[in-house]
Formats: sequence, structure tokens, C-alpha cells
Amino acid sequence: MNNNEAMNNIEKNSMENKQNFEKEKRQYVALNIGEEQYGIDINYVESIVKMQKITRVPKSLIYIKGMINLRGEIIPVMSLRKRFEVDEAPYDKKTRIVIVKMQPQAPIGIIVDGVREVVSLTDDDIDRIAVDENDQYSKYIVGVGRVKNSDVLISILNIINVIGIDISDED
Amino acid sequence: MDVSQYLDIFIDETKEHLQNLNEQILIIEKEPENSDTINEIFRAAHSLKGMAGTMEYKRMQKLTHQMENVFSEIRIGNMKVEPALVDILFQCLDALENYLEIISETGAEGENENREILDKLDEILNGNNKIQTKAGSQINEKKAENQMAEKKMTNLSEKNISSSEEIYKQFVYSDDERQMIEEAIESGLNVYAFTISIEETCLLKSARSFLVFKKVSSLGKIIKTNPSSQDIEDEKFDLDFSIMVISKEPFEKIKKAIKKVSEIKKVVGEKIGTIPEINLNIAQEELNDLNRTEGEKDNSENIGGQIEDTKDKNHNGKESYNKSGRLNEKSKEGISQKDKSCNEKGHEDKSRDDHTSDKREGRNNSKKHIAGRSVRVDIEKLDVLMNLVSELIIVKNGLASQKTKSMVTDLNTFNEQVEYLERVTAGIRESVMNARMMPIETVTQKFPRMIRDLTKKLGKDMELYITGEDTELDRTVIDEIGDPIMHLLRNSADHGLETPKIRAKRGKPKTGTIRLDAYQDGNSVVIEVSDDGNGIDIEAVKNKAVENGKITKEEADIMSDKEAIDLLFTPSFSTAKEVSDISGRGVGLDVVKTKIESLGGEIEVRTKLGEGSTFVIKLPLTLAIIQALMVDIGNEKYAISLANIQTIESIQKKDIKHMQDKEIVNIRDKVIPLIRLSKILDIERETDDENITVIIARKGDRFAGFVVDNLIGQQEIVIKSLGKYMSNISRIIGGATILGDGEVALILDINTLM
Repeated sequence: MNNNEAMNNIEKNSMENKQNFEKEKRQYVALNIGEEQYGIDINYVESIVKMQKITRVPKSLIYIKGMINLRGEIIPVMSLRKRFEVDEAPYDKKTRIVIVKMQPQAPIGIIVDGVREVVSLTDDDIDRIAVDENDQYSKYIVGVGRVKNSDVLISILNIINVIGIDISDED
Repeated sequence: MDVSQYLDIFIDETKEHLQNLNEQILIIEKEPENSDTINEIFRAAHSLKGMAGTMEYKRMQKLTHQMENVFSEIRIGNMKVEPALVDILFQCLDALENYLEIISETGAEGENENREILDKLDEILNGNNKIQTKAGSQINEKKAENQMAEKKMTNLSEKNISSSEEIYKQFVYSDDERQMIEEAIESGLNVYAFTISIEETCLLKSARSFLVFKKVSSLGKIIKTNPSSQDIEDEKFDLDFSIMVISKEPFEKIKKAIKKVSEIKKVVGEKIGTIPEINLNIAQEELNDLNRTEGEKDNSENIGGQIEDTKDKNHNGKESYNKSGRLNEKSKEGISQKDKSCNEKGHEDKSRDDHTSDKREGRNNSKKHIAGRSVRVDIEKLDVLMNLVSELIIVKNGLASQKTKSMVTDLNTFNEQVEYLERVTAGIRESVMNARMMPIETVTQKFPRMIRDLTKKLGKDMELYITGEDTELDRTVIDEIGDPIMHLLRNSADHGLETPKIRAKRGKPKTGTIRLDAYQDGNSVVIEVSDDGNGIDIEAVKNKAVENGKITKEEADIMSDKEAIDLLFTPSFSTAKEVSDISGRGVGLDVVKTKIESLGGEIEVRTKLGEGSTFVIKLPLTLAIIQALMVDIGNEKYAISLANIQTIESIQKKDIKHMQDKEIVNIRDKVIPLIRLSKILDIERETDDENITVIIARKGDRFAGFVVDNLIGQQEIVIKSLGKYMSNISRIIGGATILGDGEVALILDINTLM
């Protein structure tokens, strides 16, 4: 009977959710700017695409590089280097655009020097850092994660602050 | 209970009902005896009450309940429609609209009790009772008659329903289910079976049944439904369905819970102590038998539905299928016989009969009404479709650009393909566009009510004539155009039309005329708002402008009439209040103009002093796909809408003259300012050619020349928004589009530079 099945399914799902919750392990896309490694919560990452032609938009914010065509959708692209106020590097074969979607209707691309891997970190692996008012840069970082069995440190990006444009009050 | 997922439907439906009520009450104000309309109003009020109740909006429910009471009095004939009542009813509608507005913003109905209106309704109801007693025996007799008739009818309808009561007894049990029921009964749980009948007028049967399921599920476990839950979900049932429930709760509690769902007509059911001792096959046969006998009894409309059910189950047996087919015919005869008997019965009491037939007619009417209206399509779905179409166009453009490059061989087939693709994309585009189109009626239907209110408020007699309500516009335009038109209508009513005294003096008819005409003109839609009032006093406008310091006396003297009228659209003019003839003539007109221009349209005024004025709004049919001119500026590509472009000129550098730091050029005796797009768009360019290409654009009577480097050609482009992150950049970027090679090009809105 349909109703029965539905009931059972709901129960099963809620059980699974509980188990996930207990693990608390999250995945991050590890990317790099120069030598430094950064991580973006994989839940926000829609896709990763290769560098492509960017159409400049006059009079836009300094770190917005322009617009690209992503499968028929026009989305803005920002440069993480410009955002961090470091010098821009020439684009090469490793340059990638990480498409991040904070809200369903508002994807944005972030240009990074390269994307390395996906790492799993539990909350224990991440040392939170407080926002330092004097350090502009610190608001872009939530904490620093240590990847197990290696001495790699990954700065977890505060993606909301990185994107930095308040779109919540737009419709 | 969580009903939030129905909030959207609720809001939509309530809007429709309120609109319907508005229209019907306007009719009834003119024809107080129109029983069709009264019934329609009663039904709308009733559904509103039910919906508000389901959504647990208590205040709204209370108000609609009281309205319904009033209408039921009117319907029975105990009360007459009077102007004072109509006024209060309109107040009710306004109050309901307020509730709805708050609901759509916050999800809750707010705190406003609308005590005053409720009291007024009470007064009317009570006052009516007094009158009624005075009116004496005649009415009472009639009422008694009515009551008797009602009893008869209920008897009759109960008889009709008796067969539907049996439906739940026709459950066919599988072994599993039998076991489940057995176990439940053994463990001390109750097993109930219900048959639930839904009102004939219900539009969302599946939603109602879903609500029933939800309510029942909160009290127990539904183990079985007839027809299957899938069929119920797909609305594959007539008016009733049956469920079997295992629950700890008492029978009455569940029955009550089901009854609480609105538009549920009847709930019958019983507690099942033992399982009916039948197995599947026997049950099937018994079912057929049952139908046969019932078909012969021909006592119910429901038979048709039942047989449909059996038909579904009998797919495996051809013989029985035929049997039920025959049965179907039989039952049809039965129904017609029943109708006859119903009519006979009806003769016994005329008023009751009138009522039922009214109801039946009314139902047909309302069905027609709804079918003709709109199919609700999620705009996002259309956007997806739109996206696909745009991609198709991109492919087409890509192919077209390939054509010139490498495809030398077999060029004919290739061309054919491209042409074919063009035909397809054109077709798809048109159909998607059409799906996005809505008749302007959705906006205009609220205006008659507004004019009525203004008539009372201003003490001027006026009549609104609307033509071309079926003219269609893009959904995005429709959503935006309502306010500007309303503004213009108000202007016409308030400031255009003269007072009755002056009208009489001028020999004009006492009732002023305001017209709203919409029609399609080529690729645009024209909306005209006109009145036969005073017209615009151009001298008064000029004087006012001089007074305000907007222009000098000398400027005013040489100003053309058209320029003077344009002054009305300037922002600061809206404060004009003293000069009575034109007072407020400019109120908000600048807002109207800005709105219309943001929709890509334009507005102009034709007026003749003493005879009236006409505001003409011209809007593009659609905003999503436009014809554009592609240009190079530096090494960037931009699109400019062809609609803005007047001509394209090639100009020699030496012809450019300078005036106050500005470059101007004289083309065919017209002085046109030049605008260097490269400067505005921060594009670096090295060369400065001897010959420059200038795009001459026109906005109203103003011209400007835009300097570009190179023309690429004309192209059909799909406008895409730049998205939320880019919403606060310069207004000159009107959007973006994807070119044939997949590249993004920005669309320049050169209107904003003029």
C-alpha cells in the first residue's frame, strides 16, 4: 500500500539524517592562490570550470572581472586574488573558475589559481579564528583546517564575506 | 497542521474570488434582483470562508462568514440589495484585501479585527429581522414552505447519498490488509471506514482529499483508500472516495476532523469490528453484482462514478468489462429518469426548484469562467523553456556564422539546415512568448470598482468604458503596468472631468466619460486613457512653471505646446496645488513616465482645452527577445536595441564642432550632440579615424549621436539579466546576451544617456 511505503520511507530517511549528523564530517574543495591553500564548503560549490573568455562589465566593482556564459546562463566572475588584494597572476592551464551558489538564483564564479582535491574535515580538524578588526583579510577566513596524515594547512573561506555583496534584500 | 505549502494557492484563489466578488457586487448594484449574481456572490463568499478556515485565518473567516450570512438572507429573499449595503460590502472586500496583503507578506493575517464592519453587518442582519417580523405572516408562510421544501430536498438527497454510503463497504481486501486489520482489532485498536463526499463546486479535489489524508494521518494510520491514493492524487475520482483507518481515537473525533476540511460535503462511516468474510475473487464478483442491482435501482448519480471504478478494476476480465459498459448505459437512463422525478418534485415548491436550477446553471457559468481565464504556470518553468529557446537561437547563430567560414562544400544542404533551424526557433519562440502573454484584463478588471468609488468620493458622475481587454502583454509588463494606468485614470477622474455644474454650463452630458482603450499596433501595444473633461490648460501650465522658477517668462513665450505639456512629467511639477484648473495635473506623472520608460515604453499626451485629453502609452510586446545592432567599441562587442536607433551616419572628423566642451554635429539641419561610448564605457582606444560611425538615436524629440568603431550587423538577441550581484551597476548596461560563439556581450541601454 502506498501510504505504508511512504510512512516507512520517512522513518528511514530521518534515521539516515541522524547518522549523518553524528559524523559531522564535511567536505571542502581545496584550491590554491599561489602557494596558499584555501577550502570552500562543497555544499556551496556548483561546479568547477576551466578558464574561458570573460566579458568585462564597465563600472563594476574592482574584483568583478566580468561575465561568462555558463551553459546558457550568464554569471558574474570575481577574482580571488583581487579580492585579497594580491597581484594578479596570468591565467594558465591550471586556472579554474569555481562556480559557487549561495542562493538558488544567484551563482557567481570565483577565479582561483588551481583546484587540487576534495578534503574531508571534521569540526575538530578546524581551528576557528576570530575576526580581527584591524586585519581586513581575516574576515574572509573561518578557520584553519589540518588535513590528516599530512602537514597541509587549509584556510577555510568564509564564502559569504568573500562574495561580499549583500543580495539578501534583493528579490 | 502545516498548510503553508498551500499558501500560494490560497493567495491566488482568494485573489480570484475577491476579484469575482468585486465584479459581481458592481453588477448587483445596478441590477439588485439578479439572482444569478446573488448566487455567484454567495458561492464566492462561501468558498472564501472555507478557504480561510482551512488556512486557519480566523479573522478573515469571521468576516466572510458574516458576509455569507447577509447573502444567504438576500438569496432567500428576506433582504434587498440597497446602496448602503453595497457600500458596506465593498468595505468588506477592502478589508479582505488587506488581510490578503498582510498574509502574502507575513503569512499571518494580522491583528485587525475590522470590528466596525462586522458591527455594520450585524446591524444589517438584525435590522432585517425586525423588518421581517413586521412584514408579517406572508413571509413567514413562505418561509415555512421553504423549510418544508428543504426538508423534502434533504430527504431526497439523503436517499441519493445512501448509495455512496455503501462505497466503503465495497473495499476489496488483500491478504496483507486483512491480516493488518485483524492484528489491529486484536491489539485493541479501532478500525474505521469512511466515505467522504466533496462538494460539486470544489475545484481542487485532490488538494481537499490531501487535506483529509493529512488530518486523518495525524490521528491514525490510513491503511487503504478507494480509489487508490495515486488516483486520488491525480484527481481520478468523481466526488467521493473512501478510506480505511486504524486509530486509537474515537470514531466521532476522526469524523469531525474530516468534516473540518472545507468543501467536504458529507462524511459517512462506521467502525469495523470484523473483517468482511470475502476474498479477492468473490469480492470482485460481488462488486459487479452490487453495481448491477444498483444500476437497476437507478436511484443515484453516483452510480456512474462507481461503475467507472469497477471498470478500472475489471481490466483483466473482458466479459465483466462489457457488462459494466452496458451497466453504464443503463445507469445513464436511470439518471435521466431521476432528473425527471426531481423536476416533478420541484414543481411542488417553486422557489426551491428555482434555487436548484439556478445553482446548476451557476455552476456551469462559473466553470466556463474559470476555463476561459488562465492556466497557472510557474514563471520559472517558462523561464527554463525560454532558456532552452535562447540556446537554440545561439546554436542557430553559431551555425550561421560558420556558414561564412569553412563550409564551402555542400553549401546548399547546409543552408537548408540553417533555414530549417530558423523556422523552428521562430516557432518555439513565438509559442513561448504566447505562453508568457497575459490579457491586459488581469489589470483592468479592478478599475470599474475604483471609478465607482471615485464617483462617490468626488461627487462627479462618470462612466468608465474599457475596450481591448483581451490585448495581450508580456507577464513582466502586466505586473508593472497596473499602477501607472490607475494613476492616469485617477487623474482623469479627479482633474480631467469637470464638476457637474460646469459640465452642464458647457453643454456636455452630465455623466463624464473616461475611456481605457488597449490595442496592438505592430510590435507594440498601445494603451490610451482618455476623458471628455477639461483638457490641459497649456497657458496655466506655463504660468505655473514660471512661478515655480522652472522656466523663465521668455522661455515660456517661445515654448511649443508639446514642450509645455512635457513639463507635466517633470518631477517638481507634482507639487502644483494652487491653480485649480490644473491642480494636481502633474501629481506623480513623472512617476508614471519613469515606470513606463523602464518597461521600454513611451507616453505622450494629446489634449484640447475644453474637450478633454488623452494619454497614450506605447509598450513593447515583449522584453525578452529583441532585434539589436551589434557594434564594436575598442575590442569589445556591444548590442544596441534597434528600437532606439533612428539612422546610422558616417561623419568626417572635420564636421564635428565644439560647443561648451561638447561635441556636436550638424546632420540634415539638425544639431545633434555626440556621445563617445568608448569614454562612457572606459574603453581604451588608440586610433582616431578620419571617418567615424555614429548611431543616431531618438528619445521623444531628442536626438543624440553615439560614436562606435565598427558595425557588425543586425541580430536577434535574447536579453538576459546580469543577475543579483550586478544589480547595482550603471544603468547603461541593460543586460547581456550570448552570441553565436558563446561569448557574452553586454546590451547598452542608450536611452539612459539621453
